[in-house]
Amino acid sequence: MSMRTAFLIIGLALTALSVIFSGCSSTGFRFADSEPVWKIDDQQPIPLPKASKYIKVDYYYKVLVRRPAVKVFHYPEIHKSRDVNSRDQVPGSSWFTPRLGYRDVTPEELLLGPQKLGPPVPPVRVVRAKHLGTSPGFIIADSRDYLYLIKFDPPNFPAVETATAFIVNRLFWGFGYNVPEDYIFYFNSNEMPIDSTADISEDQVKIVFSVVAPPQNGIYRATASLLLGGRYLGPIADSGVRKDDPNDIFPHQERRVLRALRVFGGFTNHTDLSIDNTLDVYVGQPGEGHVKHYLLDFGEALGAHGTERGRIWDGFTHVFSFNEMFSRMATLGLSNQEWENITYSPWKSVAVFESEYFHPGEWKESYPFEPLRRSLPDDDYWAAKVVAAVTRDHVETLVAAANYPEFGAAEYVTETLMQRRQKVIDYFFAQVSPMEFVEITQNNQVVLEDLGLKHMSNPPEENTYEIHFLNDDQNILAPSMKINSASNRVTISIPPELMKKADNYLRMDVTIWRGSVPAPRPAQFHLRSRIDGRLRMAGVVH
Amino acid sequence: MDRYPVYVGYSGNAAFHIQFPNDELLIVRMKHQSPMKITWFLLLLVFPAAPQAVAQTADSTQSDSAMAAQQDSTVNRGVDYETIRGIERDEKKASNTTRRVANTIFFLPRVLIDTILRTAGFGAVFIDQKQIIKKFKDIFYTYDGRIGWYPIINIISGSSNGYGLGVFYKHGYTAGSLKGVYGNKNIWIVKGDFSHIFFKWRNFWRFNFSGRFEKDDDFFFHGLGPEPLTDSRSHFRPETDQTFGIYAQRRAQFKADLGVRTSPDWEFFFTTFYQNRNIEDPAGENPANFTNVFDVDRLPGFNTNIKKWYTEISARFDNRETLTKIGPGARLEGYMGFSRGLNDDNERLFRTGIDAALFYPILRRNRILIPRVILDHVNDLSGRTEISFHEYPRHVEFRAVRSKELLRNDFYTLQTSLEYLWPLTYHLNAHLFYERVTVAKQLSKFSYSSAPWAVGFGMDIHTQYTEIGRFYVTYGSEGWFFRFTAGFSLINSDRGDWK
Repeated sequence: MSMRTAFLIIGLALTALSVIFSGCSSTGFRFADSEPVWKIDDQQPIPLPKASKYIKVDYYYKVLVRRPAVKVFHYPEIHKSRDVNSRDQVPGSSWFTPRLGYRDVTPEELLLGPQKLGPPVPPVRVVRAKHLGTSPGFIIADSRDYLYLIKFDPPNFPAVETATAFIVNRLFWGFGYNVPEDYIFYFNSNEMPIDSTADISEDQVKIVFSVVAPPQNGIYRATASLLLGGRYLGPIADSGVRKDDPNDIFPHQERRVLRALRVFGGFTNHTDLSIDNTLDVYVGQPGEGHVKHYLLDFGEALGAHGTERGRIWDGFTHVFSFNEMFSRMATLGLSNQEWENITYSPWKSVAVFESEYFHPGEWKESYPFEPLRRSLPDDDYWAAKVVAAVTRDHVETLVAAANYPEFGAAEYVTETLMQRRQKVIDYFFAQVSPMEFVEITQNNQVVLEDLGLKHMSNPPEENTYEIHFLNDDQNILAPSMKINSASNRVTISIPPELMKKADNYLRMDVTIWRGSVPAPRPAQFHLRSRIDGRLRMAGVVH
Repeated sequence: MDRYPVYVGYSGNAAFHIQFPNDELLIVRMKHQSPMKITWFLLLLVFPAAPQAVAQTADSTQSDSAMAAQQDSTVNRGVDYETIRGIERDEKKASNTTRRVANTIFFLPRVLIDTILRTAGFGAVFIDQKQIIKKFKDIFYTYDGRIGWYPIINIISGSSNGYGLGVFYKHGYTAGSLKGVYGNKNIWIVKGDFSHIFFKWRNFWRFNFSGRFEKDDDFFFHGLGPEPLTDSRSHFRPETDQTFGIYAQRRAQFKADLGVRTSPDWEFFFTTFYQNRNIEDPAGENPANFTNVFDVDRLPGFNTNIKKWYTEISARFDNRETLTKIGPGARLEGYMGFSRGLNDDNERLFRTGIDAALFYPILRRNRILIPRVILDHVNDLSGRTEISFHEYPRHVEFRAVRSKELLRNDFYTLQTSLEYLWPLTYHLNAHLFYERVTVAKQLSKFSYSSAPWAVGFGMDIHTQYTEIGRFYVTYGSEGWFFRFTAGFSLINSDRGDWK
C-alpha cells in the first residue's frame, strides 16, 4: 500500500468516525414557565411576494420519481413539528383556525362553514373559460358581480363530485383550514347567458354541457366555488418555506397542520391532496398585507376519484411507486392485495367510497405530499383528536345538505364516514398514549384523562397507567408506579419532596397498558413549581 | 466583499464560519440541512459569485446582521419557534449510528442519482409543450402561446440519427403542425397536418388533413410466401446469398380523414389519400441492395413511379372502459378500402381486414389475457397473380422486427398473439406476449410450420387518456429485438401511415 493510499484511507476513516460519533447524547424538551401560545403572529405586513412558478410535470416527476429514488440512499431524521405549542396543540395562524377539537362547533355552524357571501345570486352569466384543472367548467359572475368557478359531475356519476365537494369542504373548514366558499348550485342552462366580454364561445359552453352529468328536468347541478379575494401567489410548496414571506418561518414539511392531512385525508379519502389543490393568497394592499394559505378543491374525495377510469383503488396506492412496480413485476401481478376486491357501490353518486378495506396507517394520497410522508405519531394523534370531535350529527347534517339524489346513498355515506372516523381514532390513538392534561388540584394532584377510553371502540376493561418520574435531564428520580383505573380519569399526587429532588422541574412519562399491551410511547407531562409551591403544567409531549 | 473566502471553518452546531479578505465574517447555519446541501454550499464557495448567489437563495446563509436588517425592514416577526413551543431547551435526539453510517456511505451515490434525475427531469420539462417554464416559453412560444416550436431528436438503433424541428399552432379545437427531420440525404421527412374537432349532430367529429414528403432507404424485403427463400414468386437472383433486399422509397402523400364517435363503444372513419411513390435501390453499393438480390424484371413494383388514390371506410368497436387502463372487454376493428392506380398504372386493389382481440380477466379484473387475431387481405381486382411487392399487407403489430422490415408478404397475412397484461402502477402496465406471423396465397393455405415467432416482455406508460411511451424486448426466430418509443403511441396511429 502506498503512503498516499494509506493517508487517504485514514483520512476517510477519521472523517466517517467524526460524522458518526458527533453529537451522540440526547436531551428532552425543557419547557419554559410561560402560558401556552394559542395564536402565532404570522400575519404581519410584508411586501407583495412573487407568485411561485409551478411546473406540474416537474412536480409530479419530483414526487413520484426523483424524490423516492434519492430516498433509497438517504435516511434523514424526521423532526417533530414546529408549529406546535407547549400543550402539543396547533395554535391559530395564517394556516389554521382552531375549530373542531378546540371548541364546540355545532352542526349548523359546520354547515355554514366558510360562508360569508353565500352562493351565486341569480341572474348569473358566463364570463370566463376555466383554464386550470382537468374537469370541465367555466367561471360565472352573479348579480352582485362576484365570480364563482363552476364545476360539474362526470356524466356517468351524477352528484358524486358536487356532493363530495360540499361535504369535504365543510369538514376541512371544521378541521381548521382556510377553504373557499363552495356551494351546490342548481341552474337552467337557458338562464346562463354568455357575457359579451367572455373568452369562451357559446359552442364551447355547449361542449362543456355535453361532457358533464346531464341535467335533471332541465336543471344542471354544479359546484360553485367563490373565487378567493387577493393576489394569487401559486401553490403552497411541499417543503421549505416561501423565501419572500418573512412570516413563513417553519419548513412546510415540519408543519403539523400539513402533516395532519394524512389523517384528515384518510378519513375523507381525499387522495387529491397535492400542491395543485393549495393556494397562497396575498391578502391586503401591497406592502400592507400578508399571505394566507388555502386548501382547494375537495370534489375528488370520498369516492369521487374512483369515477376516473382505473382509479378505483385510490387511497391504497400512490399513482406510482418503485416498490409496487418492482413487486408486481417480480410476481407477474399474481400477488393479491386485499383492497383489490373493492368494487363500485350500488350508488352512482357514491362511486367507490368504502370503509371495510380502509387502513388509516396505510392510506396513501395519489401523489406523495411530503408533509404527509413525514407525519409522526404525535401529529397523527393530534389530527385524530380533531376527527374525534366530528359527531354523527355533524356528518348527518352535511350529508343531508349535500342532497344525494339516490335513495340510500346518504345513509351509506354517513355510515361509511363514521366507520372510517372510528378506524382513524382506533389506529392513531393506539400509536401513542392518548393522555390529556385536565387540571392540577389545590392539593397538587395532576388529573389526566385517557381519551382512548372516551373515543376508541372496544377498549379493554383493564387499563393500567405506568408512570415514570424524571428530571429534565431524563434521569429517573423515583420508582415508577402503576395505577389501575376503571374510569377515564387518572389522578396522580406529586409530593413536594419529589419536586424538590427534581429541582422544581418534573417530567412524568405516562404509558398506557391496554390489558397486557403497552402503548408504543409514553405521554410526557412537564411540571414546574411556582414560587408559592403550586404546580403548573409547563408542557405536554405525545 | 471580496468573493474569495480566505477561511472556512466548522464551528459545531451545524454552523460554518467563512472569513473573507476584508475580515467580514459570514456565519452559515446549516441546521437540518442534508450533507448534500452542505456539500453544494461548499462547492459554490469555489466560484467567485457563490456567496452572493447563495445569500440570494437561502435565508440561512445570510449574515446575522444582514438577516436582522432584512427583518427590520419587513416585519417584526415577534414569535419564534422557542416561544411558540414554549421551551427553554429543544429536544435533541441521540444520534442514530446506523443512519449516519448509511447516509455517509450513500452520500456519493445519492448525489449522483439526484443529479442524473434532476437533469432528466429538466429535459422532460424542457420538451413538454404545456408546462414549459416561462423563460423557455418565451423562447419557444409566440403569439399568446398559440404558436410554438420544438426540437426533434430520433435515435434508432441500426439507423441514422434524425434531427429536426417542429412548429405548431394550437387554438381551441383547431391545431396545425409542420415538422421536418433530417438524418442524411437519403433519410428525411417533412410533414404537415391540420386538425379540427367539432360537435355536430350530438357527436364529436374530428377532421384531419395532412401532407408528407419523405425519403427513406432502409426498407427490408424478404420475399413472398410463407417460405420466401424457396417460393418461386420471390424471384431471388440465383447468384445471391442474401436473404433479403434493401430498397429506398420516396413518397409524397396527401390525406384527409374524418372520424366520428357515435357512442362510447363505436367509432367510424372515412379516409382518403393521394400518394406518389418511387421504389428504388438505396444509394451506394451493397450486396443487399434490392437489384442485387431480386430479379426486378420479374418482381413487380420496383423502380416505378406509382400514383394512386386510396379510399377506405372502417369501424371500430371497443367496449373496454378505456384504451389505457387495463380492463376486460373486446375490440373488433374492420376495414375495407379501394386503391386505384393513376395515369398508366392499371393496378386496382381491394383491401380488407379485421383485428379482433378479447380482453379476458383472469385472477383479477385487471389481470388480462388477450388472445388476438389480425387478418389482412389484398386482392387484385384485375385478377393478376402478382401485384407490386410493396402492396402486400404488412405485419405492423409483429413486435420482433422493425415495421420497415417486410418479413413475410402475401395476399393474406395472419398475425396471432397471446398476451398477458397486468398493471405495475397506475400509469404503468407490463406485458408478456407470444406472437407469430404467417402469410398465405389463399385463405386455406395458412401454415405455422415456418412462421416467425417471438416471445417478449414490455412496459407501457400512459396518462389517463393516452399512451405516451412504450418499450419492449423480444426474442424469437429473428433473434433479439428492442424498441423504445416515447411520445404519441401506436394506439393513436392509423393504417394510412404505412399504406
